[in-house]
Amino acid sequence: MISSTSSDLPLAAASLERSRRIRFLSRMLAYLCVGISVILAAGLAAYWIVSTDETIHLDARLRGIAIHPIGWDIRLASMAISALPLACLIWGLLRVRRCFEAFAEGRFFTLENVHRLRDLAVAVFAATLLKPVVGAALSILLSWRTYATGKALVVALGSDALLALLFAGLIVVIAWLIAEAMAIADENAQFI
Amino acid sequence: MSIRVRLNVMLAERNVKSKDLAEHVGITEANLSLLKQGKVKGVRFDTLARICEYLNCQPGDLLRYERDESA
Repeated sequence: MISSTSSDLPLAAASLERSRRIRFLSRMLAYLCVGISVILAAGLAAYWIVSTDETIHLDARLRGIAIHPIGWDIRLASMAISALPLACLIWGLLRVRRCFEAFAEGRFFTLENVHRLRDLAVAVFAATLLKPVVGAALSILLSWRTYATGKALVVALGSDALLALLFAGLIVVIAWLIAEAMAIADENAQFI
Repeated sequence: MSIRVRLNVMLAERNVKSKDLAEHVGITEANLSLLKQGKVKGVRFDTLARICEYLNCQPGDLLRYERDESA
């Protein structure tokens, strides 16, 4: 007879402990997703309301001579433009929050979670691609009426964009792995 | 299907109720019924061992390979 009960006990205990850890961490990460979304949105609004003209010009890599202050119309338009990649990211964060909530409830391998993780990857991918476009649009907008020398176009590409794309790719692969695990779990469920 | 499950025959021979066997093995009667009909993808060694223990038989008594004539 197969005596699996005694040797399986530590494995079962380890599995329970791992499951408990996943649930606890997922619950915390779900709260963190909401917190980060709120902080990012508030931070963006605060930046365009509070920051000085010099800071905004420096952050936009505009090194020319500004002869007019940045008006509120330009600030609001800039905020709307720079909100585009952030909106993508926040959408991704809220999607992955639902994923963490499902993990916290012990629902690990579901099609919904695969879709949510894939949505996060799409959001990171879109936000990363939008970032240089938005940066260029901002440079034109900010230099439109303030610069002595006319309009300026700044296109910036950084290594962080490559890392973000790598992260998006990693998330997509993890989503596919969960789909694969679901197929294995389905097959195992048909064993008695 | 090439593998035929003879659990029904063994239960009848030993005059054992499905309910009692299911209880001993630790599976539902519905799953035992599926197993009797051969409508499962596989049987775990653990399940097989418990069935053999209760029915005092060998795995070979429960399963038969039948050559598919049409193939």
